[in-house]
Amino acid sequence: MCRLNWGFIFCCFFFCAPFGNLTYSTDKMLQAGESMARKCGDGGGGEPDRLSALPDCLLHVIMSSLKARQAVQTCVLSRRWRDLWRSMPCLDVDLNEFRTETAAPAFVQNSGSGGGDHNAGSSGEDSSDSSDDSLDSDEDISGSDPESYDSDNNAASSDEDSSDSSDDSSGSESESSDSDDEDSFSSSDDDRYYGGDKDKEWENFEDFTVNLMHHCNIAQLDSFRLHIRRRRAPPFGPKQVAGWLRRAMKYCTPHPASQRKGLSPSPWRLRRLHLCLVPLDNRFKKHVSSVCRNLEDLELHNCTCQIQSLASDSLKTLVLKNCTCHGLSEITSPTLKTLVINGGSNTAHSALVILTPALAYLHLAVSVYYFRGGISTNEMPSLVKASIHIRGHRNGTFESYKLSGDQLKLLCCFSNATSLELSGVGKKVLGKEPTVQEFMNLRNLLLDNCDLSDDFRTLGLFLQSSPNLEKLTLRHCKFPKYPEEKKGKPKLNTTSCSEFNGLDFMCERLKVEIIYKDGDAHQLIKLLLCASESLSKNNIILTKV
Amino acid sequence: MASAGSGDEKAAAAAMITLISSDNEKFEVTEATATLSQTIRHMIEDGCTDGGVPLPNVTSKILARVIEYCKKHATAAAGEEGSSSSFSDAAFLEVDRAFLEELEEFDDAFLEVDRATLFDLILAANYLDIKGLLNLTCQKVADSVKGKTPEQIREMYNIVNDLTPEEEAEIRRETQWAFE
Repeated sequence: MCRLNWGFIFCCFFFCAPFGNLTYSTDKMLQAGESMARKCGDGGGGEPDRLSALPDCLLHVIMSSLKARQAVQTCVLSRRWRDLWRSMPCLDVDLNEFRTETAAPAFVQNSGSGGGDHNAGSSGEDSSDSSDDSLDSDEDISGSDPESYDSDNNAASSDEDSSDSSDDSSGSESESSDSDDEDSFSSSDDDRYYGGDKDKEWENFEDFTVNLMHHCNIAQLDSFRLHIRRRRAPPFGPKQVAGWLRRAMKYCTPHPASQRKGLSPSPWRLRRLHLCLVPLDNRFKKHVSSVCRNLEDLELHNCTCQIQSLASDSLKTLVLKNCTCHGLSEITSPTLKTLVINGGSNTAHSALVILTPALAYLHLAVSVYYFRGGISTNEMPSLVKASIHIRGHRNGTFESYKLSGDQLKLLCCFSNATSLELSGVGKKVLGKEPTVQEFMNLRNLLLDNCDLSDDFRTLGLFLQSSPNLEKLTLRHCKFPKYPEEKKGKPKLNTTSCSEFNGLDFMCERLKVEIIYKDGDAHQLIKLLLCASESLSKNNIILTKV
Repeated sequence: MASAGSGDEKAAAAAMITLISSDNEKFEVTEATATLSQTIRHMIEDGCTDGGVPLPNVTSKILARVIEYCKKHATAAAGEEGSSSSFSDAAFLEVDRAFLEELEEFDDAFLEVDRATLFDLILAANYLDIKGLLNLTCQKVADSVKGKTPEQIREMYNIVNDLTPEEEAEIRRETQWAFE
């Protein structure tokens, strides 16, 4: 008896765990508990309506994976569903949901506006316009998969005005990227051929969004995503969207009046905010630090930011993807763990200073040309993985840009990382400096598209300062050109060996993987084997592509 | 892996937890596997897992599947300490792409279940507070209704429309902005 009671309390207690922030009335929890107990009891037969029997909080989880418009449309399913949408914790408002049915190309499908017949088949088929940028890929960006940034960026760079046509490394990048990760920006390619009525579409979108924000409990929102597309929005569109966002934030500003009444002046609950193509100014910046005090995940795609600094005491993840920044000079957050700056630009004169001492993961993929002011960071003692992709500096003319020169300084801030991925790093970066920071924690080193034509000096320096390295991967690196062998083996010249002296301490477990297109990788293997006796030949994998 | 606790458990017992399903079947799992469930994690922290953890809301059939999921994902979460929010950190650590792919394949195969089982898994994941499993299973349901009209959703899930035509018309009028 006692145990049963206890189990039931547990059951209620954990019901709303996924949305721990939301308060549910005890009534609701009891109801939910009962309905669950009931449903668990009957084994099946005749397929009962298991979906509607789920408690509110679980239906909300499911509805949160739908775009806002479809989620609202569930209100006509039955009485059970009538008001569920009003308390949805996640809103995903996307202009794409408002495509008007037209003579658009066959592959453009309509995701929401009632024309569902052609979608009736398998659920996996409606992916071409609704899930290419749906929560799935979003999770990647906000959460775990650093690879998606790389591949997204290529799609974007061909599409954006800021694309780096003079970037010599962009060609090789796209070869190494996965093309399956469809991005919203690449999907806007088919917007070019979109024959729908853009005005009608925007009108419906506007009508929907204004109504939605009026009827939904914005103050209780956990996640908010606002997504428009450049080619389909009217010129005033982005500004209008920014206005909606400001209104929502204003509405959620804690009122001093409620303080007097003894109510807690609770800041906005919102934890995740994803914006696409929304122009942001200092009013937004102010709201982020004053209203969005629970914001953990801020993702900005293709936004124009007239913001000088961004500060937050709650952010854990910040993603700036293809954002055009005007004078962004500081990102400050003591809590930030993940920072992604992918593509985009910052005005020439200002250096971007990153003050995020708790950062664990950093992904920088920027062009020296578009971040002419450079980027500098403070020490990041908790850094686990850094992935640095600096574009454009291999092209000789860009060597005077600040970011090219600063690379070593940047690297020194990452000395605690256990995993480093460097892409496009040139020989000038490390080779110049006689002393390189010690990378005591470094276990994994990936050099991608790096210029090692300095007789592997750069590589040697890196190896010397990374005594605990376990895995070294060289991918598509440029190897030095040796004169054609005259007789027998090419001689190992002594100067190139000097950096490889004293590498005996390299741990026995070191695994080397070399993926190369052309050049002589065998030379490098000889060097490595000659430098370290503990390195076993079996631990070297050579792949020619 | 259902095995009744016996005498030889003393040696390995330290890190083993016994879970007891609603139909009284016992499952012995490692602590690493069990603690993917926040519910069980808290119980372990409170030291109330001696003599097994009764899970009156989960049948042995479902519990077996949940444990299968947890075993697979426990390795992925290894090294991760504490809160569920650090999942992303763990993913950044040694990103073994092959392993992540394998995990994804496992998840896909794992979801190949009939609808009743899927809903049982959702409820179990919620009760046991296993965030990954809950998201996975809920996403499966969401994917199945994505792009469908209300009528199609009703048909798919046997939802009985208990609204009178007048009520439905009224709701549609109120939320016209979402339908036009």
